[in-house]
Amino acid sequence: MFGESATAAQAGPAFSEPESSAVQRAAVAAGFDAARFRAELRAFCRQQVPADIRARMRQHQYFTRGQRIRWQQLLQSRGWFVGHWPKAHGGQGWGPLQRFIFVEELERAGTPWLTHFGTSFLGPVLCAFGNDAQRARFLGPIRDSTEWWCQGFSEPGSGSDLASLKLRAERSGGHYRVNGQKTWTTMAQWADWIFCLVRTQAGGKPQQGISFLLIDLKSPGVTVRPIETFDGGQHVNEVFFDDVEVPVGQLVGQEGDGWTIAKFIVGRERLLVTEIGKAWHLLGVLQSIAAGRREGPRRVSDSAAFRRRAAELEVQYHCLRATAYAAVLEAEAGREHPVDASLLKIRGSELQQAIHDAITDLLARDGLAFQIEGLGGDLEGYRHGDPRLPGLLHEHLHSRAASIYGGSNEIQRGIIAKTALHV
Amino acid sequence: MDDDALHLFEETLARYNRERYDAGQWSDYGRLPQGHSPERWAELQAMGCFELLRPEDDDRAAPMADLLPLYAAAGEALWREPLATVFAEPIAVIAQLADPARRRALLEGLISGERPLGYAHRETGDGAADAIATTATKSTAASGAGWRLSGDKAMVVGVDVCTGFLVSAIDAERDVPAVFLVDAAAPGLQLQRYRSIDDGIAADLRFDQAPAERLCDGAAAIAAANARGVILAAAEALGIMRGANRDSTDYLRERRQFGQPLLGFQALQHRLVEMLMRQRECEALVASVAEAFDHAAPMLSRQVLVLRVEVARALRHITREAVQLHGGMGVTQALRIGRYYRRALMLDSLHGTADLALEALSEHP
Repeated sequence: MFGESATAAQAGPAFSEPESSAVQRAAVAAGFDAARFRAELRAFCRQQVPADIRARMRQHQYFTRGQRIRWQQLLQSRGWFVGHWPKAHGGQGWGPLQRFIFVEELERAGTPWLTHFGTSFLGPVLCAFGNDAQRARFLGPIRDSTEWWCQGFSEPGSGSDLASLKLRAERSGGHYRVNGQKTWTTMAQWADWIFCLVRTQAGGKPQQGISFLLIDLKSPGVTVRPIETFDGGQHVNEVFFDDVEVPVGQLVGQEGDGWTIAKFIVGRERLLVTEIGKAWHLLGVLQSIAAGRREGPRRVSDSAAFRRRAAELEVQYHCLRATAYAAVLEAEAGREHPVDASLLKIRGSELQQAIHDAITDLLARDGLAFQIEGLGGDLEGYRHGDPRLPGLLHEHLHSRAASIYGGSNEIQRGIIAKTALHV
Repeated sequence: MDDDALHLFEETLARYNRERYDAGQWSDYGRLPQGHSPERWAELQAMGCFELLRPEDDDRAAPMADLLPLYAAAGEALWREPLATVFAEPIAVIAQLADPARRRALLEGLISGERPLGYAHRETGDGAADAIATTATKSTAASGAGWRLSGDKAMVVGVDVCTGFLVSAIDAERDVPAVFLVDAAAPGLQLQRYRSIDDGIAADLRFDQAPAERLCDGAAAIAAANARGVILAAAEALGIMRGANRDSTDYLRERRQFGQPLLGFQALQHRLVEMLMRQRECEALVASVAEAFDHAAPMLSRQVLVLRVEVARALRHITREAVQLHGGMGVTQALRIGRYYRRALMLDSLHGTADLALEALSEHP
């Protein structure tokens, strides 16, 4: 029932998971046909993914900056990349449900992750908090993927305790002078711009005095330094600011609005962190690896131990998907359950990690070669094991970060304790 | 029911629970010989709960979604009344009857409260209850023509209110499973009553050439009855989860050690949070599977298996943690927590255990 994009697209029945009538009704109320929209997305992912990107999808390799941009532009040729933006600002005015279905289908097909810093975070922030000049300057390049954005929130001393951040921005005339450091900045090495939480005022409650500033990474005084991660990839960086001059026109909202905007951002994407479509895709990968391996006379997929483990994951998957859609329908109705946001983050990461554990345990039967040079292209020379090995091991290691970034699972449990237990 | 009506119904049930099932009352009901309180049972009828089963048109059963609040209320307050004999399996079996007049008569018997029916499918040592050893033969004897049923059925619940039993048996004429109706007072039927783990009353049934009425073919009826039973048991489990989580939170808030409420300790907070998350997940899952049931969605049987596994595990987790978080009080008879735990064990055993459901999922990937 789970399917990898290539085989499932042909087989068909792998997609036969029925649309619940509650989802169908909510979609009709929101002005779209859920089944038709899914079918359209599936056809698009089947037919429109460029060959070089598809080749990397198949092997779970890492996509280049150019490939990601091309894919985003292809999606925008249908108006989908910023479909969730208000119509007044060039979007289609999708509600949470349509956006969720969109992302779920892209994840199911295994297409490149949409870097959401511009499209999901800054775009909606500018629509809600920005001024006309900022919207006129920045929204177009985000929509067209001609400017790449990254997010400057975490600092060396401010991770879970984000409100303690120290990056200073001092007003002098028509500029802010920015001094300090951001860290764990995803894809800063590819970015043109960064939106930052900065401290414009000391003293008082830590949440006060934080402002939201847009900074050109080409400004003098900005240094981006990569952080090597244990998956062999490079996706996070340190960003240093040494007396960087930023025009005051690049302040979003008023001074002191930063915390409010940060919470707005977290609220925007709280449902999509579930990555339920990706879990479905990975379960398909697991099944296909098991079906392709033999253990003595039989296929691994026929062994009772494997099947039981796969069944456990299936239960976890369906449970999470039901919960995610319940949360999406709440959001569509303008409500929010106090537990949902953090729950989806916790369970989404746990499920992804559990599936990767199962995949790696299958691959480990041949020994775990880590030919990381195979991550960005075909290996030259000798290759050990499954061609997907470098990519899948990279994804396994990267999945360990899923329970850490965006507020660790321990922080999420703390949030639930606060909102639901009122501690 | 629309959302407003459903909400109103939930409020009515909550009020009823406050008035009838407080700390001083629920344990008394269990000491009655029937294992439940006949007054409460009559009150549910008088409140119009049974009317929830009346279908809008003759061909379709009333929606399962409307029953979820009733079962959740039952779980939370530890109702002892034999809901299943009216609301669960019998409805699914009756829906399979070909004769509309007979169907209406049996359904009316349930809704009026006059003829609750026990569901006798499981056989000893067979939790999954797929294999049926009970047989039905057609008799042509002059003393009384018709079907005669012989065999043993295990752990039938709610026996004391039942006027008859729906019994699965092999139709020896055609060698297929079928469902039969046997009158509770039928000759050749013996009941052995006993207490179950949740302090309820259950019985093993022995049929020895008991006269029976053949109602319908078995496979579809048994599958539908099982699905219906699983979903409603899951709704009851949700109520238990709610109650156990609320009681545990209240307890940790009140109980002080080391100079502060236990709820101040992060290790305990996070355990409660895990319990709350599992409750929320099960709420979503139960609602989605109940809806799938009402719409006869494809892949329903697989969804029911998933529900079976997840709810049983979550319920066990929550009730186990609730006992632990209550410390010594958790293992006494003084609090609801211990009863929740035992009712949870009972619920898991009613429709084949979660392990069996997981095995079924594994066998047909």
